[in-house]
Amino acid sequence: MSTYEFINETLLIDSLKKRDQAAFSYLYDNYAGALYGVIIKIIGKEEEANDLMQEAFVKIWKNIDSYDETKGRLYTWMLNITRNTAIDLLRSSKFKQSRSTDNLEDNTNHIKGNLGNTIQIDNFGVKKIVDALEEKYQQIIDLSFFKGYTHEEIAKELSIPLGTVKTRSRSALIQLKNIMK
Amino acid sequence: MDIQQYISSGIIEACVLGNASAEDMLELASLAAQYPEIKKEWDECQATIEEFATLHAVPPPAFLKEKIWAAINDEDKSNDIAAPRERESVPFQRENHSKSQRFYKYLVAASILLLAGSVTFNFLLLDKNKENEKKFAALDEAQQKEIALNQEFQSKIESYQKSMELLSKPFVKTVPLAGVGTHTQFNALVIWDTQSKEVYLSLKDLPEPPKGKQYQLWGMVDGKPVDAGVYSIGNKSMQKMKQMDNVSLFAVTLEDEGGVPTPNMDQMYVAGKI
Repeated sequence: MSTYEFINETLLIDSLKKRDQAAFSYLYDNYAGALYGVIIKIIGKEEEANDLMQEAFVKIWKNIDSYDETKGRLYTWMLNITRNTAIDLLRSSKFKQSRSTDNLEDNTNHIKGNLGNTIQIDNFGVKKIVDALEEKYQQIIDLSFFKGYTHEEIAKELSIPLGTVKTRSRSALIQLKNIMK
Repeated sequence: MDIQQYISSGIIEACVLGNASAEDMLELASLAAQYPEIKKEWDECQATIEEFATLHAVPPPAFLKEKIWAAINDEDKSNDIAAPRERESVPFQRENHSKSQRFYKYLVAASILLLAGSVTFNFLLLDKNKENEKKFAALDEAQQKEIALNQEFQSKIESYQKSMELLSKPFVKTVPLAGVGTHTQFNALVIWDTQSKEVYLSLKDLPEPPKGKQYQLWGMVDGKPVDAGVYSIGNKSMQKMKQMDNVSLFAVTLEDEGGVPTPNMDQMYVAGKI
């Protein structure tokens, strides 16, 4: 799935800016799964996931003109757009209302950091990775990346100091990087 | 700038995980552009989260790709925020329809939208056009007035300049014409270049002639009044009249428009001897 590394990303970006359909197709084929996965992880329901995916792609398409590499890598840039779109919905009052009847079980699972639930591809490999990541690190990645919590909110949620949140996030990513190598 | 301290603070991770503020993000971008170590750290962080996302990939429903492409095209055409379209409650039943049919449907919908938009736009334009025409007419009128005023000023300036020129020349006579008869309160001025024979008349404070009438200048030559021209410019500036020679007296009478061959003596307003 990391085939993006094998093509010239500059060429892809230029083609996207030119509204080239082949570029869109390439982008979709290689990244849609990851973006969809992020959306599902954040909001869960499939109906809304489709709409969010569309919204995210439209935003990506619209904003590609203002993208350049000083803004970071293309993939991360897209992930952030997708993630923010989903979290906006997650935090919206409309969505919260529809979620008020959700059972606590879901939430505790998330807080425990059981990130393996929705994985459908290559279960074994991923499960190994997820299990290998310390629970407190799973937790912090989940709260930051998939729930859109700010550092302050995380500090409050986990009853840890703000400074710890920052250093723990760093450690989490370092460990994650090492596991995935 | 302590690079190591920046890196170990975890701010880069915060940016990548989405916890950071916009200022922090901008700062990171700026620092990464300056310091290769920071850029490297940032790249690695991003790669980590990207790999993580890749591993959590979930294939989206098959129909979504085309739907999104259609939405993007609509977006490009109409510049609207693409609202989520038809809610697909049972997505997989649609697989029977051929792809081109579905795409065609979206094309038609998009064309109808475009047409409706275009027609509305045309009506708006028509309205705007009528408005604009009125505006143009008003502007045009105003401009004409301005031009006329400007011309008035120009000729006044020219006549003053001419007066100055004339007065500085030798052999140029300045003949003030004083009011006569019932018109003693009025004055006019003739400047006569005895060398070139050119005659200039300035009506000074004579009243505007009634409609159908004009002031006419006469020069008395050998005891007979000779027509020196009709004063035709309206704004009391100096006007060049006919050339005259051997004039002993200048007079201005009020005559019919266009002038008469012999003066109406009791319509004399002003006169002056050389």
